[in-house]
Amino acid sequence: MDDYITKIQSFILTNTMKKIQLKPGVHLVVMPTKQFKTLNIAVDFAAPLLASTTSARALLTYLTAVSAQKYPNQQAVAQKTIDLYGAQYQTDVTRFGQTHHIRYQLQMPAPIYLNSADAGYHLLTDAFDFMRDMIFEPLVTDKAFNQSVFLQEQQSLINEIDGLIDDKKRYAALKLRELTYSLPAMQRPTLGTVEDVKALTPASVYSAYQSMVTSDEINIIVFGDVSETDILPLLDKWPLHSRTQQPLQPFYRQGLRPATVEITETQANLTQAVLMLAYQLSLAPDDPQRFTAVILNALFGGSPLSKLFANVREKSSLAYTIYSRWQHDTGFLTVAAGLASDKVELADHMIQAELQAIKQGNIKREILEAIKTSVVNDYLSQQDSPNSEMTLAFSRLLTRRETPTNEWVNAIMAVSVEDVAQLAQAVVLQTRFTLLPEAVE
Amino acid sequence: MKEQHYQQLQEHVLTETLDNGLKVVMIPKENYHKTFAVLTTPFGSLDRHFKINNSEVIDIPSGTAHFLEHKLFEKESEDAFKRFGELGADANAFTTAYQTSYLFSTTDNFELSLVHLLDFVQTPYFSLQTIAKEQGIIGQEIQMYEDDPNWIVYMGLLQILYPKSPLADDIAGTQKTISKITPQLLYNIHKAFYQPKQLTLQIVGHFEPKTVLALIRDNQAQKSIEDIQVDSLADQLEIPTKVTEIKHFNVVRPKIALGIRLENTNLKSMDGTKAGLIADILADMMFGEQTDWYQNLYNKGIIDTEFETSFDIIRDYQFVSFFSETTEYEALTAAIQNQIENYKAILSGQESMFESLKRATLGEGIQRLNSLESIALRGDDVLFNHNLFDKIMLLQALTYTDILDFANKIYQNVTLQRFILKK
Repeated sequence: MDDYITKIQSFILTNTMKKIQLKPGVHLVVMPTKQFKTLNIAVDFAAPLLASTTSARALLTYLTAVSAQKYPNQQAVAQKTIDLYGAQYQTDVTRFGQTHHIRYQLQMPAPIYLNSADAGYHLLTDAFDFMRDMIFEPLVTDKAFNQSVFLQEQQSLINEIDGLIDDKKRYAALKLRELTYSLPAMQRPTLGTVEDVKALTPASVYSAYQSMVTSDEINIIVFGDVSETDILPLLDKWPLHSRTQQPLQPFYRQGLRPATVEITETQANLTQAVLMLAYQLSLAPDDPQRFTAVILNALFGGSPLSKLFANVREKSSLAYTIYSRWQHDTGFLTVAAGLASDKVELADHMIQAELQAIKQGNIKREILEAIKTSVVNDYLSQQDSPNSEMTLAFSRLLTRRETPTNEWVNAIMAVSVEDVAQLAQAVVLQTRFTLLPEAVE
Repeated sequence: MKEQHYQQLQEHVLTETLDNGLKVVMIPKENYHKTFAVLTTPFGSLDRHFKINNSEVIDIPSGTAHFLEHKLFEKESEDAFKRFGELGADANAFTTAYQTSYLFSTTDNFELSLVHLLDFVQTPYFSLQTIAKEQGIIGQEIQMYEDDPNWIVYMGLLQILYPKSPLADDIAGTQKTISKITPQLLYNIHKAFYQPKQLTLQIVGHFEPKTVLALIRDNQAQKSIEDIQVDSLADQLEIPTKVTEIKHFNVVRPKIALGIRLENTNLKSMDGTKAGLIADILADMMFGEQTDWYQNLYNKGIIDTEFETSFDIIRDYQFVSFFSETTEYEALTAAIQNQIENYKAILSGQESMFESLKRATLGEGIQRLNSLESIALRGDDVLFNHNLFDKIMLLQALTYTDILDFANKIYQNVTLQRFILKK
């Protein structure tokens, strides 16, 4: 069965995504298009989110960004990407609900625009070989990452985590996360904590790496003017082995808290305050109300036409930035505002009043229609960005759900004022984090 | 209608200047879903004094260009921004040192949105009341930047490179300067810098050029706008006095910016786009991630991937800059200084490195063409009248000798100035 390639022909007419199983637990999607002038390769390793592995997985993306057996330091990696016509190679950690993702990406110019006769064949081959070398042949001896690269990147990661406090909005978002989730793994920052990173060793990160290459679900997306017949032979050279398939459970859900939890923190050298709120808005993964939730969020604070933007910012000048975001994967709706410290209370009060107005159905029909048009516009515009298209494809692979574009658009356009007001009843404030400037004597 | 073909890039550009002077640039991309349009005036935060029809000089307080940008959205009976939302379009605007741009993108209602863009930018409405309200909103925007250490470092560098110049002022101005803005000033600026012959409309994406051009023509024919002579007067630049400035701020690691102010007159006669392309490749050859210099400092923990270099030519302001986050800023300063002093030896015999960096830069330029916004905004259209495609074509004509000549121009008698932000 191992070498047996199953082809699941999608029954959908638009946005057809053909998923090819290379090995159990390893899938390839080739998305042929001539729209863009690039070729993009992305490899995603997905595993359940665990507090114990977050830091090690973050550090291994740092290590494999700057070293491999064949390219032992940053300089060698940089030289190789220059030779690949200025290709952009990057590694990232992301999460979707309670799954943790390590993603390797390469973007390079499509050969036909390079004015170079030999670029075509060797560039594609070189790119896949390079990705294989970086991902599967790390700079490892005796089951441990190279000590000096390890120490250097460990410090880089510590610097990055330490530096988060300098970005007040990101810092406040991290504090809100810590406060909101009950599961320790969910509370963690995506990069882990300094304490955990310090405790890592070249051997422990190698063991996290081993677990990633042998056990994680792997999805590979190739996007550009190529076909699967170009790609399959190149992937034959990759050490892709079958893995036990325990389907991942990406959607995270937690019970409702009886009361709002809140923390206020003060910091010196700050002129503006940051207010962050988290509301529960949790739907079953396939609940058709998810389309209503998208509109509810856009109406509340997720668009320039929203109540928070139009009333709190524009009409009342209470905040310079204010927006909301709904995450289906975690079941939370969050609000972030940057504002003057003497306006926090007033703004907070107004935010709650705007939500109340939505619950009471106090929604202008023409605004709702405009918001639906905007949401559809944003959705369709994603098709003009390779990154958005690949992100969408990865989430489709993860959730095993693919809503065709026309169905998505129709579902959004069908949302009514009553639907929004009804769903808003389920929105409950759970946590509040406020960052204030230290009072000046 | 002028038509330019870029065969290698498989792009074409249609240009037309209307009778009233409005320049229209159209780049059709049939296989895209959305269309992006941007209306630009070459009026930015550096424009601080001007004359209309040779009459007396009018001074512009710092922050006015940005203030006007915000204000233009607000009309007597409607909010122009909201109207885009109602059409389903995604709108925005921005102000830089040398331009102000108003833009939107959409997959639907393109023609209605385009007419709205032209109408709201060309129909000013400024009142005492709306100006007072805006002073509150922008006041908060200025505060927000004050909490951003990267912004403080960037401005700090500009302030020591170009003391008391418009470039050293925050684009948004200060509470004090924007309080001096009056409706009359905004109307005068609008009359001068927003008249059709000052404006360029770029359209990129999915649209039918003929229909759209007819629509624009028709729209402009309905407007009668006075054609006036305008002169923007540049400020005399002062000589810098400080080599190093340290500011204390609550940052985890020190942040440092280093700069070299270039006064070379030979540089001013060069094509700005070409100079910029050469400068970028030169910076890569000297300080890029593939150099021994970089790897050596990286291994010692003196720099990390946050290290950046940049080269800017903005009218009379020409400078090289370096940015890093490091406790070892003295070592970094010495390393940059040393590398510059030895530039001849470092660049010698590097022809093949130059060729590969040129190829890589070409590849990066091509990757940028994926985005309609980049095509419209990442060329040198406003400063040097070269679009992004021209820029990519110019790049391919560069030679190793160009790099050496340029290094001779900028690396002689270098004074490295520094701004350091630390606890």
